[in-house]
Amino acid sequence: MKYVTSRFIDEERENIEVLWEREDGGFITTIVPADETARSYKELMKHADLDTIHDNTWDWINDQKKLIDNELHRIGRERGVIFDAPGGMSSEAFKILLKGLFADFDAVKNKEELFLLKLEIFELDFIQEFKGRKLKARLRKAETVIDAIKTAIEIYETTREAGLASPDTSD
Amino acid sequence: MTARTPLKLDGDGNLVEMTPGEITRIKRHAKYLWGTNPVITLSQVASGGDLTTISDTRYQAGDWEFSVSAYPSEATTAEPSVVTVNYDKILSAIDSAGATPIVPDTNNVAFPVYLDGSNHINAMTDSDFYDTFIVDSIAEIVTDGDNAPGVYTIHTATSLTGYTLVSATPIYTDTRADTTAYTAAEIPEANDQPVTITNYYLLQKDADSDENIPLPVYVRNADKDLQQYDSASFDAMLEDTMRYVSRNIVGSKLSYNIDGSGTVLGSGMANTVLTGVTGDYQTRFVNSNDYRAQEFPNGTPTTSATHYLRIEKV
Repeated sequence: MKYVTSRFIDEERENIEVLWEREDGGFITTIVPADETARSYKELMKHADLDTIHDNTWDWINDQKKLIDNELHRIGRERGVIFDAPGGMSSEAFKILLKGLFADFDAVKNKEELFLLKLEIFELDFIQEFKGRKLKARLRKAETVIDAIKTAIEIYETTREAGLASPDTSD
Repeated sequence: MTARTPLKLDGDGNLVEMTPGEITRIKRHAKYLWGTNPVITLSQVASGGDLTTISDTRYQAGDWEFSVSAYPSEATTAEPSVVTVNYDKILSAIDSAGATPIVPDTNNVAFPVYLDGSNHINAMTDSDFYDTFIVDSIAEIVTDGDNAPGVYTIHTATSLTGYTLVSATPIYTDTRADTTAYTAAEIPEANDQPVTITNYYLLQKDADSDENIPLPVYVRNADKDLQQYDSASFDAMLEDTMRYVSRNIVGSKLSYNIDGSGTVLGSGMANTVLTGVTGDYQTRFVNSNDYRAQEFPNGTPTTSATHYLRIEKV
């Protein structure tokens, strides 16, 4: 069999999966203990050193993360919970937006959500460029989701009317 | 109990001591003979094997729910659960034929002769014979592991050069939930939909090429003259003694185990599972009176345990 690659399969780095190419062109994996006294480990060391195996492991983990990330995005898009703003909002995304906007608001329970919403709003370009201190202060002090959104809309309309800045179009 | 230097006949018919190299060749020959007829064998059985049971675990979907008015919420649908399949498919057997010494040692002259410190010719005792040829050979079987003839190994395919498949039925199968098999449109999905990741098979090392060995000399019981063993008789002595010692003598008894101590034999057997399984909540609208929901397995594959077949002296 011809050695192809190898990587650790556990966090403890005690076991190594080795990919071999067989004479018939097929591939198989075997698992080798990371034990210098083991014959199979000694055999593996003829093909790869420990640093390479660690590097392969790192690469494999990164590849897996990318695959998982892509898969989560695919599922998220299918279910409408991930979308490409601003032009690509799905009906599911609108549902989520409206549900969040008009849900019963508890000043204590939903305090953190409100805080995070305000952070997102302050990240918008037209809010950052807006100079009206009074409206910005009102936004900071908004006590509900609706108040925060309402104030953000007011700033948006003010900037548009005054031509002070272009509305934020980034996501 | 001492390793002796056996006597042999040289080309001129004179008695001479064997060289260390010649004794090593006889030890390798003893390993070869053991490999052709090992006293301890492993086989694949459907269940009830005596080596440690190992488990394959995987996730399955939770039970589906339905409602006539709205989708059952994620809180009401069952979470994916773990399915465990136990594998006890390796049975070890110890040949009863090796239970007693087979070599008859009438008048204590059956074993090869050697020169003692006073240049007297003595016959080895059975213990001397063990120490001269057998104990080291058995130790080498353990050291060589699945490179020693007759020793078993685990492999992820049904063929491997130099080995013979014991059974085409795997002794362990690693499975995981087949996340691609579950779709919302087919709710209710069968809970357990596994995919085989790897099958592990039991194989046995074939005998290598044999050694050409020198034959020692022994005391003929009938008239107490010295005589060279014939090949068949000396082979029988070596083979029977290898089997007896590897079966009975503490410190040289051979034993297989899973996840115990000793030399690793072949591939480790990995139990991979999905981790971070939160349940992939899916819904299916059938009609205005039939709303369905089910949670499918999700998460990322990882190895939760790795098991090794090993051989050791006990």
